[in-house]
Amino acid sequence: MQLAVSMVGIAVMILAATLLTWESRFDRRGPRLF
Amino acid sequence: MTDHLPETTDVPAVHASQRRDLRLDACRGLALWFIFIDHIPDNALSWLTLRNYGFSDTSEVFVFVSGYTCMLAYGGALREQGWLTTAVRALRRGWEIYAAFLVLLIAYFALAWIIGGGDRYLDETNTAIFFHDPGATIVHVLALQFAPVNTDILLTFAILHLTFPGLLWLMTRSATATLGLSFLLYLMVQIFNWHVPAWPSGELYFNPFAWQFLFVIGAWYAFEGTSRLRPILQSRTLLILAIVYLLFSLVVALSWQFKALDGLMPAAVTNLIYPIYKSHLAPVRLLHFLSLALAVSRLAPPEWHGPLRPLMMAMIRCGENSLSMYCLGVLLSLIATSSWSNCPQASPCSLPSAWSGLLS
Repeated sequence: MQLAVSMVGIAVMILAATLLTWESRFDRRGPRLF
Repeated sequence: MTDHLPETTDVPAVHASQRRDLRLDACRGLALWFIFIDHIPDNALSWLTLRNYGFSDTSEVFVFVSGYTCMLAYGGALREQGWLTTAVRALRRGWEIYAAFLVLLIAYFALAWIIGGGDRYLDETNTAIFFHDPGATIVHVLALQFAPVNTDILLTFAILHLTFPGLLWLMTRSATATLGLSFLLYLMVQIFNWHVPAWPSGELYFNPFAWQFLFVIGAWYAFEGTSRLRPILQSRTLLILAIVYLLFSLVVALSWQFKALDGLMPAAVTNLIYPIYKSHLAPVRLLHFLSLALAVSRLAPPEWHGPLRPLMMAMIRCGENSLSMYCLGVLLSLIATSSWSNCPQASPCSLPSAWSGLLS
């Protein structure tokens, strides 16, 4: 059980990190909104 | 107004365009996983992490790598963009860490409340004081004097980043003298117990006066240490000494779990090394980390052109987003803690029940 919970947690971290890295590719300077 | 420096100005030899060392990201990623695992009490998987096999743990990895990467990033930017831009960037990063700390705390308080139903996990998470006296707690959180369990390192990181422009200025004047000053401050902690008071009592868990030394070592290494230490680091004798110290540390650390090993340690040795105070970055911890870093740098290939395996890529992705992943890991570890404390028999129901508690 501990193994499963820890693995799920790490998998969530990997997924979130991959999304953040992917998202950062679209991060370009744009107009200031406020 | 431009703040570009003339070419003759004495600024670091590090360059922002320098190729990113993926080993650093991989180390940070692995450290983040270890931190997540270690933050779950009584987790059998914590046998995989560093803290059971030596004096230091992943905190040291994080602080050293942070100092190193700060110098690579801001030191390199200094030559190309000048002082003003570099200082603003460093301060902005400090501000981001501070803001992340505040957002994490809001989420942490909310999560502790949801999974604990307002009365459980308050002591374990050190959030009871917030629910009893929220006004005063928020004021002291903003003043970096209070942090719930497992979030403490962000306070020290915020302080280290906010003071980085000063450190960079000192380094450009004399890197060796800066390292000496940093060591002096570290010594003051070890001898006179210098510390930063916390609220409502005690001191900041990661004493910035002590941990700054490891941060400065990382920054100094990126600044000029790589070239100055190369002959020393290539020494076979030093590598052997480092490995011997790592083995000694391994035996001592295992003796904390296996009492049979306790008798192997002579009293003179135990009197010398204890107490091993993490808050003050005890010298035996510092030495252990430096030995580990030396062994890893000698044994891991610096230029890796081979295909990146999925596990390595996953570590690198987490390392690239270390601040976000640290915050996420803190919250996930709290959810994981509740998941099996709700089901003492560790039945498969625990994880779904924790998640459904969150969603209800």
